[in-house]
Amino acid sequence: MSLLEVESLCAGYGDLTIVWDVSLKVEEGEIAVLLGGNGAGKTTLIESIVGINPPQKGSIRFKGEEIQRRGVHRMAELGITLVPQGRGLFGSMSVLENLYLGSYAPIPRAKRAESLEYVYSLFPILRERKTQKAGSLSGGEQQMLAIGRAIMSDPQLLILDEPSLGLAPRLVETVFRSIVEIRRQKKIGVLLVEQNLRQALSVADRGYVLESGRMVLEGRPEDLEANEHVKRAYLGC
Amino acid sequence: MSTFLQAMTNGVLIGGVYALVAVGLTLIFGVMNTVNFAQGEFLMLGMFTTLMLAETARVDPYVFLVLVAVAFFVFGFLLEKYLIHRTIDRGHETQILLTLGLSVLFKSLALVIWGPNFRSAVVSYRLKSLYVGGVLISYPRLLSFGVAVVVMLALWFFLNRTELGRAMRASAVNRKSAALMGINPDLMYGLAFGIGIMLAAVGGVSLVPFYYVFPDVGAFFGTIAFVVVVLGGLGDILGAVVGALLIGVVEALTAQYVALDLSHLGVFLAFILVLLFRPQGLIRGKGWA
Ligand SMILES: Nc1ncnc2c1ncn2[C@@H]1O[C@H](COP(=O)(O)OP(=O)(O)OP(=O)(O)O)[C@@H](O)[C@H]1O
Ligand SMILES: [Mg+2]
Repeated sequence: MSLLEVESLCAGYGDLTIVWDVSLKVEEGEIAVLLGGNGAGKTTLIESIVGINPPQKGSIRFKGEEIQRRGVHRMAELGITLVPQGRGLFGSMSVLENLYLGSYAPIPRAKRAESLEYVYSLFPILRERKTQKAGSLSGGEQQMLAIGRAIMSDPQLLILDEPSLGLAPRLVETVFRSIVEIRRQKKIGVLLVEQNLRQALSVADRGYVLESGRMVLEGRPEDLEANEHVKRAYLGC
Repeated sequence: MSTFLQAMTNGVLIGGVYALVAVGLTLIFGVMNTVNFAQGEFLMLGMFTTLMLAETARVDPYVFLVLVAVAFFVFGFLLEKYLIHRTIDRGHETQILLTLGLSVLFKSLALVIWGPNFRSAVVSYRLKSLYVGGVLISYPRLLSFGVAVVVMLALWFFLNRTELGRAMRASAVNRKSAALMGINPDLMYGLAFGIGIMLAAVGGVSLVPFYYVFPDVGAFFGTIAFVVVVLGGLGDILGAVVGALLIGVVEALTAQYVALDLSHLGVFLAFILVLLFRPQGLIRGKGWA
């Protein structure tokens, strides 16, 4: 039984279908990456998995249980957390309040102090910035806060939508390292959405390529990297 | 000098009621993105309910403060859950029609049940006042201001120091992220509407000892609340409090130095000036909005 199993999923907006018949899975303790260019439908797919934009068709199972039509606000208690594209921070609230909100659901709330220490150990800068408004942080710090806030909910499945977007290379490095670190220490499943193909594949256990709303490739990262189509379309060689 | 201080004092004191109604309105707007055009009518209903209870039981209106507050919170919560909620994702026209419709409905109901006459409660301290440094402080108005202060502090505590309050602020800032944190948006809507109209009703209770009660009384307070909310910046609670006191003072000063019956002119003039020069609201700069 996989941690997350998506089967023949169609998703879109109203009558418009953007993502067609997509299947993917994430096993416990592994990092799966979902690759695809701008407008491929990555965000649409992810948001449909967590119920922000419920799927038009197909099934979504989490630890064997059908979770479709549960509503977004039930995901945290199930153990699924999304770091949305653009981070979705509560900009006018303090760093600490953002982190507290990450552990709003009852189960993670019981572990709040412990999770907070863990997040501070991952990103020491957040401790220094804890009274500052989230909106006043630099881009890199905001991404750390977004990841930290997600970790506060003590998830079993962490989904990240383009966490490296708009970050300087050094910060991209930090973000990727922290994801690997979290996976190793917490033994959780990670679904990482990225356009930063080479770096994403280097940390991945499994890869998927989405193009125009269809899953065109899937497989081991080294196979994807060696794939002629991937090379031409994404690696520029 | 003392007439100036007197006008200032009167303005600040009535500003407390304005703040209650306006903060309720801005809270509902912030969380639900809905403009409640019936806000003034909830104040009116709060006044009538209190007056009826006080007359029946022959006791002071304030005896019913907590009861009315709780009742209107529940009323608001249920109204949101079973009625307003249906309009949440239907666009502003539907919401405006619904809350405007409610305001007309409440006014007509009040007219049918209680008639068009101006009523007032019998309270021993209606005309009492304190005399401090050359300024007369009307006792019932001071009480009303005190209620507003206490309620505002309680609201501040709720929003900043409790899990649920923090969740509500988070919902107002970013609804999608809040839901991802496990915050149930439907619950937040119900709470926001319940608290929002509870504040108006509490304002109503505190008006009863010194203000006339009549079916149209909400129109004035509702309008003032809209002005205050725009002044303070939509959804900005602190802005609404400051705006309410400012409007109270502007109104009182106009009444004192220009003409009694032009006091509203001063209010709307101030409103237009602020719109021209600080359209983002009184407190927050552009970067904060
Ligand atoms: N709310 C919406 N309503 C209608 N169409 C939308 C909506 N959001 C996105 N789309 C369309 O869906 C398609 C896929 O968008 P999506 O955001 O899922 O792509 P993406 O792979 O996440 O791209 P990016 O890497 O730029 O984030 C695009 O053509 C986009 O215009
Ligand atoms: Mg996207």
